[in-house]
Amino acid sequence: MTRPDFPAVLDSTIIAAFRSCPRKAFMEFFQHWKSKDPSVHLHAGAAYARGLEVAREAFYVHSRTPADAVAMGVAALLEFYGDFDCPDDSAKSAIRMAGALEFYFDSYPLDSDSAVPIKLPSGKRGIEFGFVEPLSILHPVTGDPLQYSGRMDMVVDYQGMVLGEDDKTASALGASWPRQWDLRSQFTGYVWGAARAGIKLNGFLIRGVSILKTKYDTQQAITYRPEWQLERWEKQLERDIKRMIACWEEGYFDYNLDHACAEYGGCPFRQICLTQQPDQMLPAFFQRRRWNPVTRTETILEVEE
Amino acid sequence: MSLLTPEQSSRIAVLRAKFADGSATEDDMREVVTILRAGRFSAASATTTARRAAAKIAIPNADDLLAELK
Repeated sequence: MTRPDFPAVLDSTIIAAFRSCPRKAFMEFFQHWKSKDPSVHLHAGAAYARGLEVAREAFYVHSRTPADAVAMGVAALLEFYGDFDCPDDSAKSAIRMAGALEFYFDSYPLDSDSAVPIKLPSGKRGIEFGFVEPLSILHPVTGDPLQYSGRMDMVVDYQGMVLGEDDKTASALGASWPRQWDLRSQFTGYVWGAARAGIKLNGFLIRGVSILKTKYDTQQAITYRPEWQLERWEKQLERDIKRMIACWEEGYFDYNLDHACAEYGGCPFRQICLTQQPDQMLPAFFQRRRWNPVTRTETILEVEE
Repeated sequence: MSLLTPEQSSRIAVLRAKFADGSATEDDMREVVTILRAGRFSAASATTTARRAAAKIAIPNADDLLAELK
């Protein structure tokens, strides 16, 4: 296979993968190998996000009643989920996810929620706010500035503060849940990107909903990003991208061969790294699909492209 | 987990089919929410009942304990 193209647009998912294991980032985002087995987490999460977006649009943009907006959101979730085959051992079935959405809006009623999507300078409501901003590092082939993209669920007025907002589903929400966001690069990048786009965020609001055996639960956390942290984040991002370019130019992406292989239920490429014939194994278990973070669409690629 | 009755589960399956083929009405959408909410409250009630039953068995009578000491 010829050397794959270096991406023109980077996002928090690609950067996190590279920091965790450069080889994983290479296989997934340069060669575009994606598991043939669809992920219930990704599908259910996308359906949940769709439901949230539709409900919020219905209420804040189209002035539907809260009850109607929630109903439309739940319907959109179920329509998106479709006939996806949820594994028996997963809690993220269509009905459970729809129930989680109903629980969310019971916990944070649309007509009394403290987090209200702001009106952006464009006139649109801050629902599903995305950005694409140029970096100071140039693409190694085209010479154009590399770009960093992100998309947050909402930009809200929360008790006088302007916050980004992100919704998470979780298996459990313990006392430590709020603390994991304080250095999370995803949110630092969102605050950085929003500032570049002309929207100054005071911080970020994260709402978690857990789907338990007999109930749902929720927690909120607010995390702040002072200017010095944004500067540090940008500097670190640039260092990581330079390392990424160096790997790409050398033609070798380092392996983690440590904790990253077992985190989050195990790296999907674990079986590839356990074989001496990865090129034969990859097409057997993976498919080439290119994710575009700007258009948020996936394109199926030929194996030998 | 929502404790949906078989009838509720069947009804939701019918409504999901209507969502899929685009024939669902707004009343159908509202009905799904009503069913989900009923299932959530039913599950919460069942959990509370189970906890109460377990506690009733486990907690000894304080007077009996005191009587043993005398």
